[in-house]
Amino acid sequence: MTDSSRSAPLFIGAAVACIFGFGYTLSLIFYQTPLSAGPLYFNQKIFYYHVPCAFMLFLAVIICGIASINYLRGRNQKWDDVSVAAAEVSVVFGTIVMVTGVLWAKPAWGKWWVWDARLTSALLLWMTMIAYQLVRKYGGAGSERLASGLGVFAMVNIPLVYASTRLWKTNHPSANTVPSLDPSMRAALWFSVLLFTVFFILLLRLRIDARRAERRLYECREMALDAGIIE
Amino acid sequence: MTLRATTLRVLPVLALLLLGFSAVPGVANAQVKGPAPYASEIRDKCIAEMEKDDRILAACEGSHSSKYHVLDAKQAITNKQFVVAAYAALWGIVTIFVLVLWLRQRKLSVEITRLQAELKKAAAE
Repeated sequence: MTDSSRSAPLFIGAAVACIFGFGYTLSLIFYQTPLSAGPLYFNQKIFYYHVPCAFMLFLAVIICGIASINYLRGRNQKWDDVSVAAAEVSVVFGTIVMVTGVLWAKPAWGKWWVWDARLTSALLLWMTMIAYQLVRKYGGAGSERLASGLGVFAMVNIPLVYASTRLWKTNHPSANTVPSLDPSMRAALWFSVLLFTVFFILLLRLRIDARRAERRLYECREMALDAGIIE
Repeated sequence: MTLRATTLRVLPVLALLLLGFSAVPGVANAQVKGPAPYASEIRDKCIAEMEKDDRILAACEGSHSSKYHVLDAKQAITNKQFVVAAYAALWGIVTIFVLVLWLRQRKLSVEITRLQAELKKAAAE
C-alpha cells in the first residue's frame, strides 16, 4: 500500500468536512453573530473570512520560507516541491486578503486603499510571493535558488507585517480587537480559522502532489529521450 | 485508489460545491431584508403637514427626520453590496484555483498515459 493510497480516505474525509464546515460557517456568520454597531454594520461580516485568509497567507509563507531554507541547505528536491506549492497557495490567499481588504476599506474608511504600514507591508509580502512565481516560471536555470531566497525574505517580512499596527499608527485595527469581541463573534472567527486551516492543508497537499507528479514526468521524459524511445 | 485518482474524482465535485458557495450571498440578502417596515396610513398627510410648517421638521430632527431614514437605508444597502462582493470574490478565487489544479492534474494524467503507451510500444518492438 502506497502513502498516497493510505492517505486517500483521510483526504476525502477532510474535503467532506470542509464542505459541511463551510456550510455551517454561513449560519454562524450570517445568523448567529450580532450585527456590528456603528458605521460598519453588516459589512463587519467580511472580518470572518478576511482574517482567517490572512492567517493562511502567513502560514503558507512560513512553510515556503522553512522549505526554502531546507532546500538551500541540502538541495533536496522534496523541499523545493513543498516550497513551490506553499508559494502558490500563498498567492491565492494573498489575493483573497487583498480583495476582501479593499472591499472592507471602502465602507470603513471611505477609501479603497490607504498607504498605512499594515496595508503596505502586506502588499509587499503578497508581491514578493508573486515575484517568487515569476522567477520560477521565467528565471531559467538556477531560478529555484533565487526563488528560495525570495521565500526566505518573505518569511522574514511576516513579523513586520504582524507588528506593523503596534509599531506605527495605522488605520488598520490592531490584533487586540479580537479579545474585545462578543463571545459568539470570537467563536465564529476561530471556527472559521480552523476550517480554513484544514482547507489550506488540503490545497497544499494537492499542489505538492501535482508538483511531484510533474517532476516525475519530466524525469521519465528525459530518460525516454536519452534512450531514444521518444523524440 | 491512489491519491491522484482520488484527486481527479474529488476535485470537480469540490469545484462545483465551491461554486455553489460563491452563490451563497443570497443568504446575506435574506438576512438584510427582514420583515417589511411599518407603513403608516397617515404618512402622506403627515409629510404634507410637515412641509407646511418648518417648526415640525425642526422638532423632528435627528433619527425622526426622513433624511436620516434615507441615509440609514443607503448605508445598509451599501454594506450588503460590499459583503456580497467580498464573499463572491473569496469563493470565486478559490474555485478558479481548484479548477486550475484539476485541469493541470488531468493534463498530467493524459501525458503520463501517453508516455506509458509509447514505452510499452517501444518495448514490444
